Amino acid sequence: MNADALSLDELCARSQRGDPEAESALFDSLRVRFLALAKRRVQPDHIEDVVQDALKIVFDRYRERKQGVGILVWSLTVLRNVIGNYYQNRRRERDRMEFVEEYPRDAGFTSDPLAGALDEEGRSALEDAIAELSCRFPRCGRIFHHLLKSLERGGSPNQVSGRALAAFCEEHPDVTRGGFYTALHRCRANLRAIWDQHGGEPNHE
Amino acid sequence: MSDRTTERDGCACDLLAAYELGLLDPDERRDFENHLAGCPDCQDEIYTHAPVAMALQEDPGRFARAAEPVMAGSRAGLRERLSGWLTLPWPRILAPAALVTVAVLVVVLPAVRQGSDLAPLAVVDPLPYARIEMRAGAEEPVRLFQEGMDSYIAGDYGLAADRLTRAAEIQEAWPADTGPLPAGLLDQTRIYLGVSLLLADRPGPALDPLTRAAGSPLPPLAERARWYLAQACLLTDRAEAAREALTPLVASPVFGARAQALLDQLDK
Repeated sequence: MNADALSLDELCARSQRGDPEAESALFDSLRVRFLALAKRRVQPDHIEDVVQDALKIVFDRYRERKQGVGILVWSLTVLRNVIGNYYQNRRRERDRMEFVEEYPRDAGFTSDPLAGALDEEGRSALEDAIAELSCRFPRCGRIFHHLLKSLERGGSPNQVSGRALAAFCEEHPDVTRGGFYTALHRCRANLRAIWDQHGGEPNHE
Repeated sequence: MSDRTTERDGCACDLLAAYELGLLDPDERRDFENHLAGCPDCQDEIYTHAPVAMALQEDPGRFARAAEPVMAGSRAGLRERLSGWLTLPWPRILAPAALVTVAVLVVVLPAVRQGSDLAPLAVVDPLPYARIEMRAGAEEPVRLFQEGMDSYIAGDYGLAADRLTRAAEIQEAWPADTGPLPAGLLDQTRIYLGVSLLLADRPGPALDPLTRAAGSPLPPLAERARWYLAQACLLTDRAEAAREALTPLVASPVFGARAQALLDQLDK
């Protein structure tokens, strides 16, 4: 097997079917990616620990993740939560050193690295952000609408993107698939900006 | 992967959103992941945005509803700039209440009327409504208002207009010694009456309730009333009155961009 010729999701699919070579290649690749991200976020002494913790959770649980969610996006969510825990622990430790007995900021914090993408409050905020995106950038609203409706129907990547593009082409007949992806990327940037204005995800770092 | 990047902007980063939402085919995914391995910016983007991308993939139907588009207006260019739908923070201000949010399907009135030069500029889409539980003390006006809103939610704008007209009349004649009306109820009634009339293609009668609601002391209500008043003015060929309604909205975080775009169109 030439692992370089396969995407992470293909490696993941093969791993789930019991291919040890694919599993090894998958985790080698994830490890490299995790290290690159952790190096920019965690003190050098702790990088290996954080990456190992995240990889262990991914290894134990990747078969249970919801179908359709890409392995990289899912595993980065795990890494993100592990790094969040790392920062929470550091703050707690620092405050303990300063003889602060209570740490109310942690009251609602979950240490579960598999707690999921966003909690209900986060999802409501995301709905608001998407609604605002649709209001401020109607074209982006339509792109997201077509795309999410198509995702809801399910199917292969080509089917999902094909349906969304077909719906968008009713208004913009000249748009190519590549142009659609570019427009989607710009709309994502707009959504990101609105999301950040709304406070976005709590940043543990 | 076909060389889309050179086909477009020459930047593989443009495929990031498609990648994280699972739209790329296997070869494209592999190529993008190879790009990703050497692109710290894209790595950071995916890492930071991963919970949002996951949430969108896990529950696309929910977020599709939030992105419900507005296919407003009869001219593509104007539609692009002027359409949009509203989110409503104001029921929280008005109501000591629990809200049951009602999703309103976006139905757009084709805003072209024969014989009016300004009508094609108008964009009339339903104002979303969130049901408010009112305090006791003014049962009759509240009941009439909510009956009107039931028709509004059902999309029967003619009946909604009739019921809301009656609700507004009752409230206007409401004796002070019977107890106060819920704050903002009359202005709300007038706004939804105006919007119902617009959606029922009766812009002339919409002018009066919307003009009155535009004087509301509650800024969120006044802003919404002004926006729809401007549309009513456009549909009845009142350019100056439309400008007058739109000008104060330019500073509004909700309507600012659309009001400015409409003013620019009017200036042309």
